[in-house]
Amino acid sequence: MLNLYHQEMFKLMKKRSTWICTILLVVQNIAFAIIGKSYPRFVPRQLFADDFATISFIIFIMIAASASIISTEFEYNTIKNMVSKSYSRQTILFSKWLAILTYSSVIFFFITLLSYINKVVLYGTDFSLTNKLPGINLPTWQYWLLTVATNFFTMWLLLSAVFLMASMLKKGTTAITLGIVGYFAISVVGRIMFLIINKWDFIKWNPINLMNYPSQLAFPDLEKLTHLNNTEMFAGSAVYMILFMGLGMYLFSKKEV
Amino acid sequence: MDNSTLAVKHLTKFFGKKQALSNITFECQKGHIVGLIGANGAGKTTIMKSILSMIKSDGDISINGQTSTFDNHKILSEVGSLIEYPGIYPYMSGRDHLKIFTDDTKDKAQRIQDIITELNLKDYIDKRAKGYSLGMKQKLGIAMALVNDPSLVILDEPMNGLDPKATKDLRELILKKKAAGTTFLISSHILGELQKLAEDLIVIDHGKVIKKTTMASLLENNNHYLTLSTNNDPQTFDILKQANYTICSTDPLKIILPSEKSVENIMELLASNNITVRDLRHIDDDLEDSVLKIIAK
Ligand SMILES: Nc1ncnc2c1ncn2[C@@H]1O[C@H](COP(=O)(O)OP(=O)(O)OP(=O)(O)O)[C@@H](O)[C@H]1O
Ligand SMILES: [Mg+2]
Repeated sequence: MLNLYHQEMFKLMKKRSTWICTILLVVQNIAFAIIGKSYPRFVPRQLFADDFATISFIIFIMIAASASIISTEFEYNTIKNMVSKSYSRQTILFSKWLAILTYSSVIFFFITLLSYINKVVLYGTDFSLTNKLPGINLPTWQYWLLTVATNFFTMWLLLSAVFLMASMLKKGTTAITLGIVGYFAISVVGRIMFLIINKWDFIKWNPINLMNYPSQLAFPDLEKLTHLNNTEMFAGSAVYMILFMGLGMYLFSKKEV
Repeated sequence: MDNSTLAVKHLTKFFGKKQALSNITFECQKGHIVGLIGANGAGKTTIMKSILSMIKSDGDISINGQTSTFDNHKILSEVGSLIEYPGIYPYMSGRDHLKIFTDDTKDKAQRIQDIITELNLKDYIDKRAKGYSLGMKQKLGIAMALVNDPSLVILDEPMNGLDPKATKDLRELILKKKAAGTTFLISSHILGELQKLAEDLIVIDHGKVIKKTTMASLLENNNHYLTLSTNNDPQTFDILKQANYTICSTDPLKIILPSEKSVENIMELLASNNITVRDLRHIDDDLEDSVLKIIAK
């Protein structure tokens, strides 16, 4: 098990795209911090709390990494090397989840740290971390960490669906596309979805609505539209994650290669 | 328990409604090289994939006395394999591949170095596999199958894409490992190559075992021929026909040799009829002919 996890981490580190994406995230983070400084109408504090918009980019990269950690094994025919050893298919998939969990945790931590450094170096005393943001009832530092944490959590709701699709479909690109479409789904169908939720209350439990969790923590008024409180959001997401991961595991464990 | 490294019993596999394997039963004795022969689509790869739990099938598979199934195949840690074409990550070097697939033992580095030397991989082992040729990938795949010194090695068309030198290197390596007690199950279309390696043979046709034999006894039953060129072929034809030899062709004149001694008899017979023999050649059926005969039945 540990051995397989090491293998997955080794492969991840050997991929050039892992490093290129990390560098791009760093460049984007610093560039947005500089832009926020030069054009204050971007509301530097809000920008900072979103890790200078890097969170969205991390989510795209994690969608691609999750889909390809499964699909490339089929594309390269290397899945045969793995299943024809003593490891069960469940262990193989589990070590892939762990590898992506490690990768995403490290990147989230690193980018959040970098955002803090940017804040200190570029913004100095422009805004204080202990003051409250307009319209938000939390000190900036709490709001910032809460945003990062809930985004990380909600990203895993999306990633569990991507893992499931990658286990179902052979092509990684399809799973990536569907994952990214899923990420934008809130902004596209959000309005209509809220209308439907008003009519049929149970629709509120659909996973796209649950992806409003990070926004709702920032803007508690959103609860009037989502019809779910924060605890329900958290629990609902967790249930879907377990469901998607479990189903993905089941399909993967039946897979012939 | 008997002495078999691999025992396959009543193996049956359906792809949808199509039956690919029916009731396959065979064994591989420890330290033997077993050849799996059959036409395209006969089911060789399917048998190997079932043993390696790549696909789900019905029947019993036991390796070193331990049962292996699709869901529980711990014993496969003692098996090395290369099925169809090798699975290779283009972004990693050959050495990286060997590193991740080699068991973590004390002599790990040494075993990796040994296999690199034995298969002559050193020129490209540290380059990214993206740029490897067909044969280079094949050799890396074989190295990955052998590097852990498994007790059972399953190779599907291992000579695929290898040049004559690499083929010879591989043959010698297989024979060396066999001498050390490794069991091999090898499928190959290059029957001449298999003839030099395998001692036991399993012939598959349409998903069924149609013959289990040893190389020696299969070749023993082969025909031996004699081709002759003389100063008077038509007259020779008549003489041999009268002496009850089976004549296969007249141009060149080719007969079946009933026994080794008959060369002598024929020479005497022709000499007594004043026929001069200009050329004489002894021809044996090889594995290919024997297999074609079995399959044609
Ligand atoms: N994934 C699959 N789906 C459906 N049928 C399959 C599948 N794999 C193999 N078959 C069928 O099973 C039969 C045996 O195929 P197999 O690949 O085992 O043949 P083979 O003996 O290895 O042939 P070759 O010498 O060409 O490699 C063939 O009729 C093939 O069409
Ligand atoms: Mg085949």
